[in-house]
Amino acid sequence: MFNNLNKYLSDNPTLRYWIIRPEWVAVFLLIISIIVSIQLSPFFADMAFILDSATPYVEYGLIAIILTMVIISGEIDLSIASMIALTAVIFGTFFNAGYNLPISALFAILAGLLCGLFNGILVTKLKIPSIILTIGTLTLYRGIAQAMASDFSLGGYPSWFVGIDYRYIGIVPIPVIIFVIFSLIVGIVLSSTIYGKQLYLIGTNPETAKYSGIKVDKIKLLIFGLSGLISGVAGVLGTSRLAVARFNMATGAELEIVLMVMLGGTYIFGGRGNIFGTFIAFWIVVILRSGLNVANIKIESQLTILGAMLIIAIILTNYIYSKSQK
Amino acid sequence: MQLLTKNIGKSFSGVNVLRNVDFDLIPGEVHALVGENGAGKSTFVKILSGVYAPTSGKILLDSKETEINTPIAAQKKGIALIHQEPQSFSHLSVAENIFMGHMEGKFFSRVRWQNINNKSKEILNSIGLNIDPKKIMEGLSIADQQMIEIAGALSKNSKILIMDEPTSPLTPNEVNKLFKIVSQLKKRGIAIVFISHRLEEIRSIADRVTIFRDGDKIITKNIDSISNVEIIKYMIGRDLKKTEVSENIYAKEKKVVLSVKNLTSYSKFRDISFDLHKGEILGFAGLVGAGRTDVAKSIFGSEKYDSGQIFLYGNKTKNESPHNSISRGLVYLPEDRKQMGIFGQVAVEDNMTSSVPNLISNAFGIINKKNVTSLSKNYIEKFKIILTSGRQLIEELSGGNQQKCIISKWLLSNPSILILDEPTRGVDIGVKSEMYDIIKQLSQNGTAIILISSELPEILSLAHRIVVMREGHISNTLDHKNASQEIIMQNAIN
Amino acid sequence: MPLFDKFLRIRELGILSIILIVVIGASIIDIRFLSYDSWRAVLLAIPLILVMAMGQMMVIICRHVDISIGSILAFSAIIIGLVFIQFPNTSLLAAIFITAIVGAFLGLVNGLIVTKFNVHSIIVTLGTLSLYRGLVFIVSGGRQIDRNDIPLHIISFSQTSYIFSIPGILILSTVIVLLTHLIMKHSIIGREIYATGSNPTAAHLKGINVTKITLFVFGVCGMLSGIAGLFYASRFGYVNPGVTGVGIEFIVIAGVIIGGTSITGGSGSVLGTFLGILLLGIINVALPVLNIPGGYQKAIYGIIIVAALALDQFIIYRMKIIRGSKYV
Repeated sequence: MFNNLNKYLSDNPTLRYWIIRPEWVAVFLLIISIIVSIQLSPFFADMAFILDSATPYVEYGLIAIILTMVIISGEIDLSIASMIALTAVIFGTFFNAGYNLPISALFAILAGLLCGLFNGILVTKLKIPSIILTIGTLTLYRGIAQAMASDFSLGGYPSWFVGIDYRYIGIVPIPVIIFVIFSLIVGIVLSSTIYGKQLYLIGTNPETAKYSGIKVDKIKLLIFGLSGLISGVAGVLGTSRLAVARFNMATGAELEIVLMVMLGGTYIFGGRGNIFGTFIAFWIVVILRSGLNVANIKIESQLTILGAMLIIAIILTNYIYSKSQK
Repeated sequence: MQLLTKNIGKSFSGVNVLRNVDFDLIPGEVHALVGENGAGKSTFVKILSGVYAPTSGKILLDSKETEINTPIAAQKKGIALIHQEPQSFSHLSVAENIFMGHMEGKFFSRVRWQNINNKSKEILNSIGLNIDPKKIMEGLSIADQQMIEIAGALSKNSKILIMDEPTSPLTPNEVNKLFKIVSQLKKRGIAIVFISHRLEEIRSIADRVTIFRDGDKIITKNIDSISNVEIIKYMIGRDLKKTEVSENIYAKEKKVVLSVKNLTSYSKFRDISFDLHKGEILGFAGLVGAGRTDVAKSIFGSEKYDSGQIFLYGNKTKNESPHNSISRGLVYLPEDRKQMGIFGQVAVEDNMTSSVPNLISNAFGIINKKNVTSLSKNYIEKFKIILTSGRQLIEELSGGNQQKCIISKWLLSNPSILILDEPTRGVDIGVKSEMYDIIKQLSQNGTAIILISSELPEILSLAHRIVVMREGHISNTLDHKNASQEIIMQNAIN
Repeated sequence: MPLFDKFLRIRELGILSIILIVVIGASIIDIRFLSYDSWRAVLLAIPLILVMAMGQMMVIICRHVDISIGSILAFSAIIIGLVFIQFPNTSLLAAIFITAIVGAFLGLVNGLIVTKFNVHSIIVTLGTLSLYRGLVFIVSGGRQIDRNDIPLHIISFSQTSYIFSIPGILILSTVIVLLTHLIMKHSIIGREIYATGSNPTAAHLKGINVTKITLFVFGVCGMLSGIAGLFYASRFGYVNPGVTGVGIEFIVIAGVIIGGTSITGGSGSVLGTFLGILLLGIINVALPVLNIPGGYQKAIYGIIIVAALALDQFIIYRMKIIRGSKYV
């Protein structure tokens, strides 16, 4: 019977394409995590509680959405967490130097854009592999943040700014709304527009893309810039949430953000993946983390579980993609 | 060592790609294998070298039945495969490249440098190659790398060498060098199986030729007792119709669409000047490495050049990008299909529409899937491309059909100038003649074509004029009426 | 001299020159920099990172990367700490053996996941980085290993002299470095490692067991990180689950890359890696002398690694131009 199923799927490429997908694994895992969490605490049966728990993770979620596009294009950006910290520090520094809040935020986001473009230029013009380049810049950006802020916590923001996340429309926190809308827009761009299509083609074969007239370098530069830009936004949001900016903010965030992307079924070598998967993975991480928090499992042990999940996620994704190649 | 195969067959998932091959190889002979792509000769050779295991039949070495299940097993039995594109360790020395994988000792044993350096020198000398074995592999020419691979085979005491289209990346000088080595190997009793598409070369080096067609071995004959025409006949099972150059109906207009003046790229070519007219097929002949592809890439804008001018429809253009060239109607079909021509794991439709984003999306960039399908369907039907559906992955198609897809992709952008770089490489004879028709049709419609090809008969049957390049510069430009294979070769060689 | 050889020599000379510049510059500013104490500080700071760098170098030559080494170090340090608490008479040799085995095991897990499931090592080790760190917390129960828990003979391994007033930690590091050099340059498996990194397809065709080689390099990298865990306990006198080894992977990788090992595989030398680590160590010690706040260290390291990467690409670009000349 299995053989028949295999043959049927082989003959029907469209069906095979829609059924054998890593995203369904993500949906499956989401259902499992909801069930498990409800066991851990009845709070999880309440939608409002889940939405509330999601708020602190929206910063990472926004970046994960963009990182999905970076990885689809065949590159990677590991400097995201350091960019969060650096832009937050710049935000705090400017504010404490007397600039008003919106201007400081603007500068921070601009700084993020510049950091991202720096990554992009070194990858596209100097042809440095992004994996090692962003390992270098993650050190550099975090280092600049430390040099600027030392061990100080940069605070002093007006009370309307702090906890900007905890505003609601109905039962839905505003950050979650922003995240959903953002994911929707990017998802549509990626799946239905020519820009998204070209991103996939670049990730599949950059040489052919160049010879087909696709502006590979420009597009990659743009994507890296976006990655920096959104990290800047996350930096400002994070400062609002924590009320202070420190150089060691978002330590370890690389893992959580990459986890969201990988858990969503994005192929690390480029050319495959989508926003829907990352979106689902975001909720898996939210529910899992909150569930573990509620069950009083220490942060460090949570790390173990997240680490294990990342490994399982890539193994499964790879396996599924290698099967669907046949 | 004598090799004999009886009834060798191979099928993949129930599909028979090779049937009942009886084959024999005598020590010291050069035995050529010919056949169209997909005829089975590559599969057969992969079985002999252990890459595939046969589904049926047996192999006998010196009258003893043997199993060759892995490449290593084949090597141990004395059969070595020399690849078309040599696989080298560019960071290691020549001697290490020769001996990697079979040095004396295991794991933590000391490498006996003097030993392998001396032995390498010996082997290299024995085939007339004068390279210092301690030299790092990086930077050596493909010809040298190939010979070092041969040296590697010799270092393992191989008795049978299988060469898969070894002459494609070589200049005629290098081919001569290779053939000298082959004759020496013959004298040492080593047998060579030689796959090639070039009948002239086969005639000069081979003792016997075996012809494959559609998975069957058709016939084996002494090279002296079969003519080229007969070989082709056996290969394709039908007579090949001769193509004649058709008249350029736009010749009277004398409209220059592309004009190149003194184009130079310091390490690749210099002083390239020519004009291309509407409706003209301009052939570019020359040896591999003469610089034709570099010129094409510089005109197309995917590579930079250092000085000179390019005029497109009378307007001067600078170092543009592929994107700009395409939008101006100048397109390029690359030589290397796999690396630069196709998006392998992507649907045929998406491949075909990848250069015309404006045709398939609206002002906001939203893709119109219906357009994608209909535009592709057009060309799939027009060119009779064989596939299961437009959504099939392009890499599952045969070489010839892939090439048809790529041509369709470029035609969708409605070019006035089409640069074709080895368009029939890796394409079997049937599809080849279909492509010649397509090319002729295009020129009839007014498209100007630059045809880069290493197959002289191809150029002679299509091109109105022929530019011959030699070592980075143009040595002559011929009218087709005054051209012949000999004249072109004279202009292409030193 | 063959072009590639030349390039490697240039690289090592280049780092050496930078080292000399920093040393001379710092000495001019403050002569105390040349003092015995400064050099002692440098020499004692680097063995830990140097030993880990040897393993990482092998991994990077094979076109992989292992960012979990900090967690491997912490885990083996915790384990040996717990062993010391139970068995204070554990000999140095036994301690080395235990940490080596623990580290090798964790390294092999990395290698197994990479080879068996054909997944990218950066993501795998990003996962195990957290997985192993979590295990450190679980095993230690969150509490720190203190100085009293560590036997005296272990502490003295890195403080007092063994031979010719050289602390044992330096001797062992030197031995490891020399062994690595011998294996990489002159043993069969070493050359097969370079071959695998240079062209994995060709390596496979030539009969090299690529899986075995990959497992080997990950195992060795883990083993050396494990031994570094013992160095840590000895040198610093404590092991803290939340602090030990955190962030060390990037310093190690920085040193390896600066030393000329390319992320694209197939090249890299022990001498270069040593010089790269030495440079980082010297900068670390020179900072206070030059009155640069310690908080700037990370930024400086970051600048150097990005500069080294940029320089590498520039050199490759130049070499292509030089070599690309067919006809002029």
